Amino acid sequence: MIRQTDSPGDTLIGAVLFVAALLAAAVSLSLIGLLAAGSIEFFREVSLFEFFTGTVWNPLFFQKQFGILPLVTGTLSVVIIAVLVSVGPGILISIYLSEFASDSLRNIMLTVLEIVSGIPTVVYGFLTLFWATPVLKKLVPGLPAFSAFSVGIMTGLMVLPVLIYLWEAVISSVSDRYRQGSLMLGADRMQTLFRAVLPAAMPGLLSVLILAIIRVIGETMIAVIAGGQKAEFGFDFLAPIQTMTAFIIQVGMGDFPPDSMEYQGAFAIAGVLAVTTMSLSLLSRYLRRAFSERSGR
Amino acid sequence: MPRFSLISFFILGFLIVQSVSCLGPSSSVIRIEGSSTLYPLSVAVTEEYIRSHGDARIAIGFSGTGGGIRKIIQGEIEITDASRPITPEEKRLASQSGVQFTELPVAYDGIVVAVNAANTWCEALSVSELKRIWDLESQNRLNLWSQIRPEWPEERIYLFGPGANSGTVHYFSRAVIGDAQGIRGDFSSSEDDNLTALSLRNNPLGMGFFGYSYYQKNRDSLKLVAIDDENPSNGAGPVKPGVQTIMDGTYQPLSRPLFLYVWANSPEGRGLDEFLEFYLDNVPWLANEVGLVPLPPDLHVLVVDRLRRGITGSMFSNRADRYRSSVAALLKQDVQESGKRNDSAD
Amino acid sequence: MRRIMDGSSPNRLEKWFVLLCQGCLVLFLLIFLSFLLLLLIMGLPRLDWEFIFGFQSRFPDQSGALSALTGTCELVLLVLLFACPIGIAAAFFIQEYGENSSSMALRMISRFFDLLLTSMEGLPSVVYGFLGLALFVNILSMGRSLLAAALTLASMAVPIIISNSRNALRSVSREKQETALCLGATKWQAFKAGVLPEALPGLVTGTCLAMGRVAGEAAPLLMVGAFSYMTFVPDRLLSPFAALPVDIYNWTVQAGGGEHANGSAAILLLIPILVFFNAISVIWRRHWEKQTAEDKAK
Repeated sequence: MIRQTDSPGDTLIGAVLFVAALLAAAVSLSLIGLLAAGSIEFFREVSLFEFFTGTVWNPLFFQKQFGILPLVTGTLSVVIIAVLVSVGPGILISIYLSEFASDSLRNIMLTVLEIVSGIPTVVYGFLTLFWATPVLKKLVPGLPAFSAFSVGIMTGLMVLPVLIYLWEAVISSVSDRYRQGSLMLGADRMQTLFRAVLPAAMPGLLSVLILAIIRVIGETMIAVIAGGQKAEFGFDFLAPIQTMTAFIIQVGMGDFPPDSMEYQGAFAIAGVLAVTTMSLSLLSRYLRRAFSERSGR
Repeated sequence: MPRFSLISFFILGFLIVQSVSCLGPSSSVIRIEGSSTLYPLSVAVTEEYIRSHGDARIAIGFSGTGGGIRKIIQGEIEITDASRPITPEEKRLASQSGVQFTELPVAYDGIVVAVNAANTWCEALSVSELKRIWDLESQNRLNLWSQIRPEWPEERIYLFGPGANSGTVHYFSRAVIGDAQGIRGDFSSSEDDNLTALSLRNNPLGMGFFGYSYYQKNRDSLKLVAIDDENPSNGAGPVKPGVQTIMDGTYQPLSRPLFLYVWANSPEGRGLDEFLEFYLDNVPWLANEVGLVPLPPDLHVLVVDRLRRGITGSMFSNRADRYRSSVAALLKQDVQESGKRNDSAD
Repeated sequence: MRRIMDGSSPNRLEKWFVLLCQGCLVLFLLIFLSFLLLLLIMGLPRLDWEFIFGFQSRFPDQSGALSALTGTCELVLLVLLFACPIGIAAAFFIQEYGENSSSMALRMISRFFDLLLTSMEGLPSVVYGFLGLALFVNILSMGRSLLAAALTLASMAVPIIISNSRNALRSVSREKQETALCLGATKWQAFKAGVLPEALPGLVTGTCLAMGRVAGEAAPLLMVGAFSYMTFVPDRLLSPFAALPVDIYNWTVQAGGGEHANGSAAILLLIPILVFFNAISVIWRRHWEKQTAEDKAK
C-alpha cells in the first residue's frame, strides 16, 4: 500500500470513521465494564471458591446457595447432545455438497441453508413443544417431555443449517492442489477425501464447530420453554435442567432490584458466559487463520 | 431490478411513516404491572374498556406483585396488579418517595395446589403435610413422594411454583408455612405462571401451586389437590378449590383477596379515574370468565365508595394477622373510620 | 472433487458413502419441511386481516398481533438507524484507515477495536439483553421503552455488521484502488471509486443479515420488558412496546389450542419479515455479481 500524506478531506473522513469506531468500541466497553462491575459486586458477597465448585444453585428465595456447577452441567448437557445430533449428518451433508453434488443442487441447497439458518430460536422453542415432544413420544414412549435431551435435540437441529453452510464453505475452499495431487498419485476419490482434503480442512472445520458451540451455549428460548427450569448438578440427560442462559432470563423477567443478590447473580453468570464465548470466539478465529494460511485457495 | 428497488423503498417508506411519530412527546398511557394472577382480569377489563374508549392507551405486564409495587413506588406505572397486600416496608418506601396510593380489593382468588393428571395417588393434603413439603427445612432434603406419605411411590417429586417476586408465593408462604420467608428455594420457579403450568402438565411426577385461573386453563392435564385446613369449625375434611368454596371461605387457608394499587397523585388523573370506575363496575361479570371470584355485592359497594372518596393508604396498616382477617370486616371498618377523617395516611 | 474431472467410476465404498450422505440430506430436508408444514397447518387458518390488524384479546380467536408487528418493524428501523452507519463506518475505519495508517498509535487502536468487536460477536443475546436492562432501562432510566429495546438490539447488531462489512471489504480486489492512488487520488477517492462499488453488495448483505438476526430475538426483549398486552401501537420512543418474538413466546407457553394457533400464525408473520431481509440481500448480491461479471467480460 502506497503511503502518502493525507489530504485534508482524507483526514476529516478518517476522523469521522474513527469516531464511529470509537462509539462502537465505547458501547462494547461500557457493556463489558458493567458486566465486570456487577460481577465484582457479586463476588464481594459470594466466595469465588463456593461459586465455581458448589454443586447447588439456589439463588432465589431464601437460604441462597450460589454454586454454578448445576448450571454448567445444564448448559454442557445441551451442548453435548446438540453436537452429537448435528455433527454426523452435518459433516456428511457438507462433504456431499462440496465434493459430490451437482452445481445446481449445491447452489439451491446453499440458498435454502442460508435462509433456514435465519430462523429465530423462539420458533424452535415453539417447534420443541409441538413437533419434538410428540415425535419423541412416538419414537420412545415414556420419555420425559422436558429434559436436556429434548432441548439438546432441537438445539442441534437449530444449529445444523449454519454448520452445514459453513463447513461446506471450508471444504470447498481447500485448495485443489490437495485433490489434484492426491488423485495424480493414484488415490481414489474416497482416499483423497479422507486422507488429503479433510485433514487439510481440519482447522477450518474445528473453527466452525466452535462457532456452532458458541451458538448452542448462547441459545436461550428452547431451554426456557422446554428445559424445566430446574438447576441440578449431573449429566442425567433425561432430567429437567436449567442452563446459564435460562437463569438470566429468569432473573430478567422477574424484575429484581439492581442491588439484590439475584440481580448480581445474573451478572456473575453473564460474566461467565461472556468470558467463555469470547475466548471460544478468539480460538475459532485463530483456527480459521491457521486454516486459510495452510490450505486455503 | 429497478422495480424491486422501488418496492423495497415503498416498504421502507411505509415503515418510516409508521414510526415517524416516535419523535413526538410522550402521550398519556396507563401502564399496569404486577401479579400474574390478576393479569387475566386486567386484560379482560381493558379489552371491554376499549370498546367504548377506543383511543385509550393501556399496556399490561405481569412480572410479579413485588416488581409491580416497586415500580409504582418509583412512579414508573399507574396501576399495580397485586395478589398480596402491601407490606409495611413497601409502605415506608412509598411515603419516602412521596407516592400516595389507593388500595382497591377487586376479587377473590384461591391458590390451588395441583398435580399432573396422571398422578393417581395424591388426592388431598393437610396443611401440615403441605407445610412439610414446601418448608425451607425441606430444601434439598424432601425429594421423594414417599417422604410425604410412606405409601406413596418412591419417586422423585418435582416442584413448580411462581417466581420470587410473586405475591402468590409470598401469600402461600405466610398462609401455609407461617413465614413469608420460610419457603424452600429449590423448585422450578418462573414469574410466568403459564410456564409453570406448562412444566407441570408435562411432568407426571410434579406438584405445583398457582392461581385458580391457571388451573382452569389447564384443566385437562392437571388435577386439583383438596386441602384440609385441620380446622373443624371451617368445614371438616379436605376441601377442593372452586368458585363456591373460595367465595364462602371454606377453602382455607389459600383463599385470598386480590388488589389494585393505584397511584393516587399520578399525572394521569381523569383518564385513570374513569378507567378504574369501569374496572370496578365490570369485575362482577368478567371475574368468572377468567377464573377469579368477584367480591360479594355489599363489599363491592364499599370498594367503589373507597375509590370515589379518594381514600389513600392501606387498610392493612397496623393489623397483625393480615391474611386471616376478612377483607369484608376491614373494608367496613376502614370506610367508617376514613369517613370521619377523609384521609388515611399510614 | 466435482471440479476435478477424474474419469474413474465410483467404487463400492464411494457408492455407499454417497448414498449415506444423500440419505442425511433427504432426512434433513424432510425434517425441515415437516417444520414448515406444521407451522402452516397450525397457523395459516388463523392468519387473516383480523389477526394482522387487531389487538390482543382474552379470547384467543379474537386476538391480533398489530402492536407486536408494528413494534418489531419499528425496532428494526431504529436498529438500522443506530447500528448501520456506526457499524459500517467502524468497519471502514478498522479495515481501511486503521490498518494502513502511518501512525503507530492508530494502528494499535485499530487492532484493539478489531479484537474487542470480534469477541463481542459471539456474546449470547441474553447477555446483551441483561446488560441492556442494566444500562438502558435502569441506569439511564429509559424504562421499559421502545428506545431502550432498540439501543439494546443495536449494540447487539453493531459487532455483526462490522464483521460482515469487513468480510465484504476484504473480499474485494485492490487493483482499482491502488491504480487510483498511483494516479494521485486521495485515500478516500481511491476507496470510493476502487473498493466501494464492488463491496457494496457485501455491505448490504451484511447489514440485512444483522437485521434478520436482530428482528427475531426474543430473549433480549423479554429482559428489557416488552409488554404482553397493549391496546395501542407503540408510537413514541419512550412508550411501552411489544414485539412479535415475545408474543410468539407468550402464545407458545399458554395452554389452549387457540393460543398455539396464534403463536403459529405470528411465526408465519415473522418469517416473511426475516426472509424479506435475507431475500433482498441474496437478490441484490446475485444481481451485482452478474453485473460485475458482465463488466469484467467487456
